[in-house]
Amino acid sequence: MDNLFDFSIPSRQSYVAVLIIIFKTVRIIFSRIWPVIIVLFLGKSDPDDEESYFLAGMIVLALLVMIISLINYFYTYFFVQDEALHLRKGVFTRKSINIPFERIQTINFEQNLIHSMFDVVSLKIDTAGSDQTEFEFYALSKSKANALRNLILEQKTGDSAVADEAEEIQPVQTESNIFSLPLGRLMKVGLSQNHLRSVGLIMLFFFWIFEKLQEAGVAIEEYQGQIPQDDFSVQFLFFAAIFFLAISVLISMFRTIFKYFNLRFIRTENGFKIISGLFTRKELAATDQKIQIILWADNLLKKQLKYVDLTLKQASSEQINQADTIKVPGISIQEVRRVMERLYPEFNPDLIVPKKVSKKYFHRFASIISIVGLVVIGLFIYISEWHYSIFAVFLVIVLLISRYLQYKKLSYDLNLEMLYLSGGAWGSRTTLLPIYKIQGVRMNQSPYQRKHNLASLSCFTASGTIKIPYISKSEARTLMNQILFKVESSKSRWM
Amino acid sequence: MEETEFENPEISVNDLPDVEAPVYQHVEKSYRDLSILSSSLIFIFLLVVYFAGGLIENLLLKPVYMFSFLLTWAIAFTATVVLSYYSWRWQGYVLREHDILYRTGIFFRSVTAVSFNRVQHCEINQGPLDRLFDLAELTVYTAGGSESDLNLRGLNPEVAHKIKEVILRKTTLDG
Repeated sequence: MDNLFDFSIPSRQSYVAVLIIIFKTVRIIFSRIWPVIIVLFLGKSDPDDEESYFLAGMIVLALLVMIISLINYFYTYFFVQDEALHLRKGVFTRKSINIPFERIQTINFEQNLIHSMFDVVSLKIDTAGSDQTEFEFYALSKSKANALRNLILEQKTGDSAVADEAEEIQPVQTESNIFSLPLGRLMKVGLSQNHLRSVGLIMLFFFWIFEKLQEAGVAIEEYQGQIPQDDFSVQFLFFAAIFFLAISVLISMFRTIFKYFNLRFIRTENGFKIISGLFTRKELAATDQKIQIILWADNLLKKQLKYVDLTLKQASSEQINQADTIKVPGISIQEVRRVMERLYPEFNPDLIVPKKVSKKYFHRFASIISIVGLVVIGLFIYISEWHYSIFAVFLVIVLLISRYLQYKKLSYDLNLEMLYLSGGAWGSRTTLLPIYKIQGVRMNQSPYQRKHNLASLSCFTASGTIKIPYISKSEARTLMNQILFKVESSKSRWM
Repeated sequence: MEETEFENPEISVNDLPDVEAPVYQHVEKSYRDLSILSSSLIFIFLLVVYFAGGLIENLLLKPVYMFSFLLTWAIAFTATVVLSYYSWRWQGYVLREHDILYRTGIFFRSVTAVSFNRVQHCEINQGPLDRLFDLAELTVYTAGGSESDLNLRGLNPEVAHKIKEVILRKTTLDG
């Protein structure tokens, strides 16, 4: 790598950090005082003394935090020595932290508007282990950040070159674009998002405003009288629903565009990198070794548009850590295969022979749900709650159908080196991982499963559990033996 | 402490070492007493809470309520004691050449396997009740999250330390 920068000399972060710290503080203060501004705008009298004291206190506190952060900035130095990142900070009590490169899990960049104006990035370093040694650089010039990351990654892979076979086969090409998301496709992705999430967000937003307004002393109850009461006709509800849906779609659309604008999914020397975002450019990187599981999923809409969302899950100290997950939306199955070819060069997806789970997987659920459902429905009819009973019938039917679809789609295969699991009710979801990444296996048997000579198998990995339910006992046993054999005989480092 | 010898043979599926073949080592018999005692303590506590509540809210002391509570209490108590008594029989562990197996549960049975080259670290704990019965708990941590950590309860402290040593030795060997 280019050694334009000498990291052995202790240095500070870029001066832009000062600006970033100030900006952060301003944002915090603003988010505190805007309800008051609204109150003034609505022509209310001043908020009472207690409130304004509280507000003043908040502002003083925020300013104090800012001053401390600024002082800290001037007293924080970092340098590289003996394959470790060293940090020296503190004014009165000097503190020095060193993070060995091999403990560093991920190095991620982020760029908001101010960052991009000055061509700097913020850099977040996550480490393995329970002791919290995370570190965030507010601002570092982009070239310097890149050089630092390359330095860390280079030395990390240097000592483990034997372990990863994928690395050797990969021809030495520094970076190549695998996938990018043009605007048209981005719009499609936005349209086919899970809109329920947006509905949740809208509701949260309303609650938030409601709370803020109340906090700020606006008596919302006073306005309630102004809402016409007699208009709740079917027509009104219909239009309200349409309106709500439209807003949800719009919000998902904007969220998607903000998040995934100009997305580039890149194959790096020994891993993957994704850069995206409209105002805040986010960059996430993962090395092949760190990636534990890949999975791709679609829903009914995405299926029509013929694409899936691909997720690369990295090992993380906390089990499910969204921040360490690389998500590539709007990618086609062919492109997923290209990712697979690079990540698992020895694996041939055509060799997968999906096997089905026992039909008891459906039967058991169906009988339990039917019995519970019948009791509940009977109860509702008994107390003459017709609406509820119709709703319950509907719910039972939906549950039965989705479980049936799940049963139909659920299939798995343990193919030499890989574990494959595919499922889903309305959409589909496929998980793939090398067997040697498994940390532990458990075979479970409920009394019912024992009676029918069935079992379920759970495979624990550093990024979640994969469960194969309702397979024959002997099959579960064989799988468990095979997995243990692979894990124990493998010399590859799982991370 | 028993260490069963196993080969790690060719890939033929039927020749792989079987998770069900080995003889599982029982935990200490006094663990049964311990689990019965600890569930008894919980149930006695529940009883005390109920009657203490009865002092404040007299309704609870009405015969109908009191009787139904006592009946439920007695059934649940008996069931728990019987379960603790018999589940001991199904609880066991095996140390093999490359992994540790742990079996538990009477109705819902499970066998968990963790291979030594995936162990992060081990921990031995001894609570106050454990000390009373001279028992210890060995926890084997993996990177697979809390669900995959092994909790071997009811071990003799010496045995626990020995197992821990074996695991750590194997971990450095295999890892």
